[in-house]
Amino acid sequence: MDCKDVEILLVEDNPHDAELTLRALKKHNLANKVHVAKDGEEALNFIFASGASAGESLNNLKVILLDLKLPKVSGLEVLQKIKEGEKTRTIPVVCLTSSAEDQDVEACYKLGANSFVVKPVEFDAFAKTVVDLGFYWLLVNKPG
Amino acid sequence: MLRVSFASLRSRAILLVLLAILPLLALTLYSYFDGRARAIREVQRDELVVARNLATLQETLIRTTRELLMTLARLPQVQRRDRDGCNALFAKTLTQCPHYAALAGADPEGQVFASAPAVSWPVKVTDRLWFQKAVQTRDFVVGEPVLGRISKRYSINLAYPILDEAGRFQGVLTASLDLHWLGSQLAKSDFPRSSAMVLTDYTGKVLFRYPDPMQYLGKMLPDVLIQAMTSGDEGVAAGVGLPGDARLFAFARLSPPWQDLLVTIGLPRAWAVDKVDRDLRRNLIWLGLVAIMALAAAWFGADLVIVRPVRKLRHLTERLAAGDLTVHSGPDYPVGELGLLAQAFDQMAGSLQGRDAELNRVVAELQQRVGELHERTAQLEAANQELEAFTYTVSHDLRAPLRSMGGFARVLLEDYPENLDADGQRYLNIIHQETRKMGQLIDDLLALSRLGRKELSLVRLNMAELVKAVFEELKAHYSERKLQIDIRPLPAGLSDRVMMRQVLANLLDNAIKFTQDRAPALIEVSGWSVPHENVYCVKDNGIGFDIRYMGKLFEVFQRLHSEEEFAGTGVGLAIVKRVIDRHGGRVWAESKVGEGATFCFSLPRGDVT
Repeated sequence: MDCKDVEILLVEDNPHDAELTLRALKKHNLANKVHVAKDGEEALNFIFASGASAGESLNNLKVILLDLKLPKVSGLEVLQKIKEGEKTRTIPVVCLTSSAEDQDVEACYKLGANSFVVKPVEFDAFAKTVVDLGFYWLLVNKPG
Repeated sequence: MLRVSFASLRSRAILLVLLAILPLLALTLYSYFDGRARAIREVQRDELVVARNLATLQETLIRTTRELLMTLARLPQVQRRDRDGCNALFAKTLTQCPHYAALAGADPEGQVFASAPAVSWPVKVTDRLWFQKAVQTRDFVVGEPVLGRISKRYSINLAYPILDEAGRFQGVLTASLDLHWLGSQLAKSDFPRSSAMVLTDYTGKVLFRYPDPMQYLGKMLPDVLIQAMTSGDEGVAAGVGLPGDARLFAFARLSPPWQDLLVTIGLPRAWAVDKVDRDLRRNLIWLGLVAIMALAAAWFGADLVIVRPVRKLRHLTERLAAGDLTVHSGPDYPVGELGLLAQAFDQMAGSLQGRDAELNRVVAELQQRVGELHERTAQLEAANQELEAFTYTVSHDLRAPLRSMGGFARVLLEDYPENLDADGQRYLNIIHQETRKMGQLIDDLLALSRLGRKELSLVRLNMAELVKAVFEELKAHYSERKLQIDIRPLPAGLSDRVMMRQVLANLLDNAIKFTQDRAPALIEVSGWSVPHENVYCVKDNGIGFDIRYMGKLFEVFQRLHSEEEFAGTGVGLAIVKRVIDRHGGRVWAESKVGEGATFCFSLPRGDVT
């Protein structure tokens, strides 16, 4: 799909988690505009190296679902880069992580994350969380 | 160094020597006083002998004079009153008898017709009492001491009448006893020149004194003597004599018929005691010398025999106190108490050395243990760090697969219902549920481990408020249940807020869960203070548990009811126990099957009263 159509960027290294997430979104017709990046580098490439018309192409990006535990470039680094970039700063970022024990919670908010969500183990809850996120950020939230 | 104090050993030694000398001194003084008294008595005894002798002599003289006069009175010269014949006779007698001062004859008119010494002037004796008495009695007469007219000496006139053959009174013959001569007999004794002989009458009046008769004639003897004279014919006395000095006296009375005359001998007391005094002086000087030598010996002897060894030991003790434990007073010990002391000192030093070595050993051991302890602590800290990292990994890496497992099981159920019969679907459901349970287990385990590692931040909590808040939160999860809670007054608790919240949540949640068959469920929270602790209890009217299995109640994952009956992984109470243990308190429970359960825990009060 074309960059400018992407409404949700999912940065997730676990393919199963990614699959389950897409499936949940698909069930509620939120999935057609999802781009998946497998690691931080890909994510940054997508965000920052999308050609000269980066600003335009990311116009539709409503939310970034960012898993914190990523290979190569870590989630926090990605978050930092996003929030540093002039054109990208305004994009809402939702940090995802496996457990609330993370000391990363504070770090995320310090870096400017808009939301912090724990990925539940139980699939129903997980799916619901994802869908709730999607509904909120895509439909309810007024973008900047 | 010369400061005198009664505490130093040398001073004490000297004191002892002085104490030993004191009896000697006392003895010396005693023997002096005794000797003095004895000397006085001896002198008085001697005086008495002399007095007695003189008295006897006088008596003898009187008697012999009587014989003489009787004989002379019958001589023809005397009968005839032959002047020249009598002069010659008297003179010859006088030279032979030095004790006569004079011899004389007088006619009945009292006119002296002859005398020796011869006189060239007429002498009349009519006034003399002896003459009158001789005329009167025509018998032998003893006169009083008078100063003789012829002899010019103090004498006693003894007279005898001259009678012719017919017995006619022809005159009086008299011989004068020379009192001086009598007194000079005193010189024959050992008595000093200051001694005196006194002739008195029975009243104590001085009739004659040798020497110095003029001075004392007519005076009275000292009262002490007169007193003594009234009580006997002879005796001794002591007092102030006629010259005014202290004197010793002895007196003797002449035998009858001359008992009106008494002879007294007196001499200065000083002479009597003189020798004794000199002896005393000599003894005292010797004693003084001996004392000085003894004291000097004590001074130096004490130094040598006592002070030096003591000082040596004192130095050793000081060195020991300063830390040198190798001191010893030597393999050679003097005899006696000092030797025993030195031995004891060495024993003590040896024992101290041993203890010191032991102490050092113990200290070294302790240091080693402390070192080991530090190591262990470092190891534990490292282990703790590892555990943190481990927990972190667990929470992430264990969850992800669970998500996949549960998720895809669900996907299967949703996407391929036609490929699965009822059993197949049931199996998949089981898979899904179990993954969920595992997730819960992981969460519980992580919570438990977190509680073990987190630092306690103790604050004073209003327990009643906290219970109320936790209960309100829990109530929201059990909206369909009828729950009744009775929160009694609770003492303030000193604990970590977050952890205590967890404890109360677990206990209240249990109470709610296990009363699920009760309507209403009655929960009672009470608390009270005991010395050093506050106790809190949560009581419910649920189904209770079998008290026989109480041991397992607080262990991880141990459950006393099946999961079908009651939900829960069995880690709630383990968390409660872990938290309370970390606070230094205790947990326990009581229950009767079917009659509810009471879970209690205690918190140390610390400074909180």
